[in-house]
Amino acid sequence: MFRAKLSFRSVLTMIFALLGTFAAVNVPALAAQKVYKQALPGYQYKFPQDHYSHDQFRTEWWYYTGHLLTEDKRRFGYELTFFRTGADNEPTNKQSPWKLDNFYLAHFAITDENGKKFRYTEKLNRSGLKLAGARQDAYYVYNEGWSVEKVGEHYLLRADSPEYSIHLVLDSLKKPIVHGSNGVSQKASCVGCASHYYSMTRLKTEGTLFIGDKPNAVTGTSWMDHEFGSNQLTSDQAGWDWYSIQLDDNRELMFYLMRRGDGSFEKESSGTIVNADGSFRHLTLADFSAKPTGSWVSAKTKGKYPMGWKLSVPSAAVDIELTPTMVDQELVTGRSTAVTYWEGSVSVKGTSNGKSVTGQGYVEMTGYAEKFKQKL
Amino acid sequence: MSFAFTLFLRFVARDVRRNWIRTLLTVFGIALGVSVYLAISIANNTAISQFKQTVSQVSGKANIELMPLSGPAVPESILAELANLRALGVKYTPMIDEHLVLVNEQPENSPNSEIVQLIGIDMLADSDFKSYQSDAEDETDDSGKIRAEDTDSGTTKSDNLSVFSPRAVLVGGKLAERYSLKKGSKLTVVVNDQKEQLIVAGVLGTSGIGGAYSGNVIVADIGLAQDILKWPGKITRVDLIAPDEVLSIAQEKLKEIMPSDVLVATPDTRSEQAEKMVRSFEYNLLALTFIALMVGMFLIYNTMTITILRRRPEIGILRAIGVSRSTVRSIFLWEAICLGLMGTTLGVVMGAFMADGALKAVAQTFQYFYFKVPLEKITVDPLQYVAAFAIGMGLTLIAALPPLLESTTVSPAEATRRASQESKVRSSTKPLFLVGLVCLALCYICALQPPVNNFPLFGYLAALLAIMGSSFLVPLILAQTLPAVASVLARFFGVEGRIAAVSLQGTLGRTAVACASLMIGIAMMVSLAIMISSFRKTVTHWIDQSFEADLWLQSQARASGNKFGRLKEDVLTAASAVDGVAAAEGFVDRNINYQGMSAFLAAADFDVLTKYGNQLFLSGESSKVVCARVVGMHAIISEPFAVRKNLKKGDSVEIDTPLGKRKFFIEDVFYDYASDLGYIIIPRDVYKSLYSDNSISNVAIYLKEGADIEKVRQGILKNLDKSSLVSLSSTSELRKEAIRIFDRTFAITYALHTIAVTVAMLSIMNALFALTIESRREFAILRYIGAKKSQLAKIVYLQAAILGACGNLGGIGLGYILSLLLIHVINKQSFGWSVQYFVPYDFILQSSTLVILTSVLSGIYPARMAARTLAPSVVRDE
Repeated sequence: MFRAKLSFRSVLTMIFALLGTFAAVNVPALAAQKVYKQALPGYQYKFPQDHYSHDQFRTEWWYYTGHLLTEDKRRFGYELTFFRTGADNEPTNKQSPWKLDNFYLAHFAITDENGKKFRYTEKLNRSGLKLAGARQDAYYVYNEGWSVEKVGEHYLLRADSPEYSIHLVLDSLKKPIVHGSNGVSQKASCVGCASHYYSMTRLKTEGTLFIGDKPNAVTGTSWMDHEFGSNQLTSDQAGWDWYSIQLDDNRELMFYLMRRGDGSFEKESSGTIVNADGSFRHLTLADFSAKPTGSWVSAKTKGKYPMGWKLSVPSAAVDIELTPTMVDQELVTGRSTAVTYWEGSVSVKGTSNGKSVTGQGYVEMTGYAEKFKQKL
Repeated sequence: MSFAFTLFLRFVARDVRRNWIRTLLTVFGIALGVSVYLAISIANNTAISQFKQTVSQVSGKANIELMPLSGPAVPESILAELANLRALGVKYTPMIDEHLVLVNEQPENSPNSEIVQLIGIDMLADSDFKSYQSDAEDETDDSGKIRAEDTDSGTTKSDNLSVFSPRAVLVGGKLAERYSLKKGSKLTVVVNDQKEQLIVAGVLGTSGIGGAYSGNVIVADIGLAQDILKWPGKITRVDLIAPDEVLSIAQEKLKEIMPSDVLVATPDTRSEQAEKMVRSFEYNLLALTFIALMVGMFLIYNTMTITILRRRPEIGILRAIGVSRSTVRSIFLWEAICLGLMGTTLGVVMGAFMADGALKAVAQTFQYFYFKVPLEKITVDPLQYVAAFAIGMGLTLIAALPPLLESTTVSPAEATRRASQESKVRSSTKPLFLVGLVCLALCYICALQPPVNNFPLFGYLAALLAIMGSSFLVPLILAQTLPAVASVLARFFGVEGRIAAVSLQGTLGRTAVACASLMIGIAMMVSLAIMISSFRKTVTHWIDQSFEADLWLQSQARASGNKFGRLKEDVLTAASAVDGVAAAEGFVDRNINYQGMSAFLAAADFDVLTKYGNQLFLSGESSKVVCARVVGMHAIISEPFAVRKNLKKGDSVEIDTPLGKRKFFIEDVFYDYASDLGYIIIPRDVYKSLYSDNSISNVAIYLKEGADIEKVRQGILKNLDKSSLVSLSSTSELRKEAIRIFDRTFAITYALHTIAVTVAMLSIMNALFALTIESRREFAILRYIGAKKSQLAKIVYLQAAILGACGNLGGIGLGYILSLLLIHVINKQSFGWSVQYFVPYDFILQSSTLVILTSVLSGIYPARMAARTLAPSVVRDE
């Protein structure tokens, strides 16, 4: 979900930061603004159509994280995210490859858990020239050579960078689960301050991880988030923490905490617990507690992040401890002025339904690096 | 060495000091020559290096470029062909790089409009290129190429003004400063005949693209740039970065997949083409400065010769007391070096100061004819100072060499007698004359040679030979004519006249040198005067003949200097519909790349031209007859194009068009003085189908007999679209403008020739001083035998006049030869212009009078000196 966090505003911030041209003054009346649809209760999901792009909403992302194991037992975490954000400009009929209706961004990160190496790359394109795009009539999202698509019942992921590349086939072991209630995942109390948000929480994964030029067969498990909306964040929100956990007893947990400027959590913060049989239950802030067990200061951004957590969901009998596979999994996208966030693989240990359990997960934290706060 | 040094101080330095006026003249003469050379070479260098700098700031680390061969732009569809190259690791980004007219809405502090560069980049994909261009790969440095100053950090939620906002652009620092632009400011540009409003989304820093065109730049996202220019689907070029190891593969592949009107080149190619384009113009300027240098050489030669001649007795004494030849040579060598050092150093300093002025004088010419790069500040390459210094010193030493060698031939006994030397000079006049004749013969042969790579190498050589040849003729001619002059002067001025002439003949060596240097200076003045007035006459005649239309309509952008400002085709019907208009002819031109050189392809309505036009053709056939034949794949070409490409009537010319190569039969060659790059003109219907371009650059409007031009003008303006900004001028206004541009182009030439003449006048003064000092013994004897002071003064004035007249006469002769070379060889081969020879007799008459007058005036001080001669003291020496 949380990519929810990378809401429209922060994504735009990212774009401008990439360009170094972030600017804000009153725009003379030349700009006709496009009106986007709000994420409102009552939304009916339909698959596979809801995998496709929803261009009537301003912001959208497809978000894959996962854990891979090579034949020689080396462990890797990966994150591959595709963003789409609509421009404010009134769309024109003009057929030009430069026409600005959508920006497409993508992030690709690999965590070498044994080698303690973290690498990420990013892409930014417009749909013209067919270099990037997200189809509204098929599940095919791409940005230059990176892509995700649905082929039959499989999902194919592909991303290349100089040091690492992944070519993966994903098969969902459970049906997509919809977060929130009544079709919306509320981010604040205001109307429309929400998104439509669903996940495929357990995807069997196999394929190839290229390390440099060398192919390595890998197997593993992935998590997919897809979220779209127009207006999720409010100005007094400082950032968020997001957790996605896959327990070895075949249960999954997702929870997001929206942090307000005053340090309190937004009461709409919520999550979902997914059972082994694929059934799931909405969790509210009262169902969940997260306690940091340590902290880490980024040398790069001076951001101070919590590092290591104790999570508990008493109503689901989950009591677990999360340990980052390495501390520095911070992404500074688009040079120093851009959005900075921590997105990293964690290992999980604890009890579930009274039995001891292990697992793996991904945690995302935004709004801890000072620069990001400034930009927000 | 220390002995030689002491000797130098006593023997030379003292003498140099004592004759300080002459020393000063010599030094100043060298200085002037060196300074104009340096100033001009700095100005030239600035133009090219600004161009190169801009190329590198805009194209950064790109190592391949795709450029249009057949116009200003290529279709962006070629980008689709490039996708496969990604597999090779090739990155690419499209660019728009074109100038447009920026209108100043508050015209109180600057001109109403100016040309600025619009750069369109893909603000998104360019981030790849950005990282290559900035030093920001380490992610700590955020000085990316597109770095706007971020002044307000407070952001309000909805009011983001970014480069992706509609009509939002980034502006260069220079531009922002000049128009006080900041985020949110509006600016107005004129494209074709329409005004466009843009909003400033940020001000660029000076690094990278923001420093291109000296910061006179507007940067927009490529889609907006297309909108602004009304170039849907068009880009100016594609910049590619190919990893070194696949560079040649990528180039080969590109040549395979690109359409024939796209050139696969490197960013250097553009600079090379620019250099090629301006080469003739630059060398012409440099050649002129060489004439000033050459006159400076004569000055040195003059001074050194006279010094050594004058001091032969002393040299003889030195030799007699045992000073070696080499010591004698070295002390005079040091004198030459000192003069050279002083003159050259002063020249370099002066040149540095003059460079700004020189740049201003040539900037508009560069920008008007060649490329629109801002030329506000000189770019100095330290090597140019070194070169100027080396040239100054080198030429000084070369000029001093003959007298130096001469000095060592002096044997102790012989040196004490002066007459022997002069008799030697006299005896060598005939061999020199023969050498001169040989030079002139060689000059003639060189003049007939074709250019080397479009460069008139032999033309310049011929000019040099002409100058040398005529100089060698001078001694004998003087020796032969001075007796006659003596008898003539004797008749008019009495005995003083005879003495003046005879004494000049007695010192033939230095008389000849003074006369020759004046001759060269005058020759330069005369030849340039002939060239310029011939040119002006030719151009005026051409304008009168070929600007047959009564009114000329063009877009405001074009009128403001943007050559590619266009009008829509419907202005033709709008203009034709006006009562009193007989016909309206549409003309359109575009830059093309023809065989690696920039040229213009134009299209005209030949049916209208047949009826109304009046082009002048080389064949002499009437315009009507030739134009009537230009249909289909036929063309006419301009003379400069014909000369540069060695084409003539009946040949054919092959052009790369978007539809492939097309061959046009050359119907005839027309005279044209609008551009030295050359024109190919084809029928407009053919052009339209080849280039899918219906637009029009300008419209020639022919009126019906008796129509009122003012009424028609109003009628046309009323008939045009209300929002259309156009310029509608009468032919006489256009003629005035053409002449103004002509004069501006030649302004620098006038300046250079003034300087050359100044150097020449310095050499007259120099010679007279020397002569007078040298003649002190004669004057003393004359005084002794009863001559009056006024008589001595008269002798000096007469000598000055004789020198002036001889130099002037020789100068006119040599100037005539040089002007022939300039007009028929050098300019013809450089620019391809046929110029009708025209001698401005009135100017030559006036300048001759002025030269002789100046010569006489320059005799004032020597005359006084002569008059002061005290008989007894000097004669005692004897």
